Amino acid sequence: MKKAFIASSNIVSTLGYTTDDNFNAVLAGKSGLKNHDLGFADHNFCVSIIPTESLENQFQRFCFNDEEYTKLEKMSIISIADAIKKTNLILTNPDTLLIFCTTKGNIDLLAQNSEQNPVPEGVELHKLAHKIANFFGLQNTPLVVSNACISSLQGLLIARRFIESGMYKNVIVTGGDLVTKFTLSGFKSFNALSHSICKPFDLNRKGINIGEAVATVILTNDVEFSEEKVEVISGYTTNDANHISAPSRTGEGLFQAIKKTLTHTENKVDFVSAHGTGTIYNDEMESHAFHRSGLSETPMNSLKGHFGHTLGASGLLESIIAMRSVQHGELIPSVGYEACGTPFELSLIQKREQKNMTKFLKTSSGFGGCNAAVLFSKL
Amino acid sequence: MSSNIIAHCIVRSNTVILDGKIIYQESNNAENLETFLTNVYRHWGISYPKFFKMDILSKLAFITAEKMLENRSFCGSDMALVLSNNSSSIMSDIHHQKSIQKPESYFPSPAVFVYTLVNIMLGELCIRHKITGENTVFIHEKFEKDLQINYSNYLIDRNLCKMCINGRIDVSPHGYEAFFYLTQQEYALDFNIHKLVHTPDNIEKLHHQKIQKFKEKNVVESDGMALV
Repeated sequence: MKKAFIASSNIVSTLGYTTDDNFNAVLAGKSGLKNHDLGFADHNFCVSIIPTESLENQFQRFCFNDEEYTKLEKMSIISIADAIKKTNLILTNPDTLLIFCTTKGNIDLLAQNSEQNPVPEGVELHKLAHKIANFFGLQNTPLVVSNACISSLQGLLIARRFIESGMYKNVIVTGGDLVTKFTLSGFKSFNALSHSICKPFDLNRKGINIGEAVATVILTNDVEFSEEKVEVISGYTTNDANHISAPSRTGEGLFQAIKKTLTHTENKVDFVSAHGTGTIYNDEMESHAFHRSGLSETPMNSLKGHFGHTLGASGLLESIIAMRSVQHGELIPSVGYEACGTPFELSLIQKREQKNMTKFLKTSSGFGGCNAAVLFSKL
Repeated sequence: MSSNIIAHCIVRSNTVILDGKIIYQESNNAENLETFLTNVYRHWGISYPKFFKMDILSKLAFITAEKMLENRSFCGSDMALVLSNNSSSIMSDIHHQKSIQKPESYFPSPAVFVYTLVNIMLGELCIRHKITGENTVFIHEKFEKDLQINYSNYLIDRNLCKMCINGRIDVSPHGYEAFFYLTQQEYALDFNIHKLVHTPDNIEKLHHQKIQKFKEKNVVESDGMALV
């Protein structure tokens, strides 16, 4: 059985265009969340949006063909190009796969639909993935994983399984989603949006903020190429089989995913990067699951106050920041947390602190009742 | 290691085929997929009011899985779902888009929006059949059979599940397709179960089996391969 190691990574978000830029911004306590007038509601939205001008500046060096790229495609190309630059792996052979993870891809293009053309060019997710794979000269048909908010954490897990079983030597896992009228209108209709920066697990939490980002991790079976010196140890996904939009009351599904993930862990988990969206019911559900998993005392944070909920990108993006956190031995405070607002009190990090860490757990849950947990370890 | 296909179901051309036998059929001039699926639901005498709240993709998934899993006993955490799809949740996406397109008629609904995620159909199947195991949707233009087999067999080989619901399901403005099949560990010795090895050739044969033209009777033999 082969092991899966992280060769390199990247994050493209409002806070920067590399993993280090993003990590440093988070360490400095910065947030990409701001009030934006998006022109379709009588109020502003507190969201994290990448300014077009800044993105165009970054993308300029990639404008060497006639192909038109959407915002999400540009973000993805910048992200993957940077991750590729940071590894010496050869990724254009048939032993490499791209897994593209997204909830809605270029869904903003659907506004151009008509009776004659109900599905405008670019809306289809496999075409988006193809375009990106072609840009980098990748040989295999890319795989698109779309499983709500666990998409990219599940994509990473699937990548690990492909490497473990010997199907591929390297897998590029990319997760990305945009802030769109499409998505915001939907979450607004659910009354799920917070008008100020979200407060995961806090007593006064009022909902989520949406953010846009692309995150990339290159996984390899060759430890020699693991610049990040991190192994993806294990992981599981489960379904609550309870409700399509409401989180489980008992946290059973997430608890089972965590339990299975930690089955073979001899040592304790040093740190947990929670999903922590800032809605009443999600955070309650997580507190049940972490309590039942014996993780109430483990230092934990949610990064949603820095990036917003980046949907399909969130699992991977937050895994990357967690990885840097463990590499640097820095516990990052959970933005917005002041007083416990969940049935079970968790050890949410309240001030920046140094700690020697090896193993960390990332969890994620989403609409459709899906849950994912993945365990990482510093080499 | 490999697995065996122990059951399959296809919904195509207003016909439901279970293990090679036509179990429901309507003449091809039936109105549309929505009506057809509701007719099947009523014909089978199912009582599951949630069905009527589902979007068209989830309804199609529901009908395709229903008889394949009926009377089958399994532990929810031992069942996995690995489905392949092309158009994501495009029908609900279009529905939601219509509700936000024009400022004068802006009225998004949570009941529609929740179905703008393709994995909601997995959630609906999990709730209906109490499945709590691994579940995912792969989006590909074509049904990538090798990838399907490799991933689903991986889950079985590593004991992450004992059975797996596999298949291809899609609904778009251009049409629909639904083909589910159930696999389980090869060494599971149950002589009462008809088996077929989980190979690309066998998937292809099941997936594209021919359907006889409409006959007056609802139950007729398909000329496709029955599992022997």
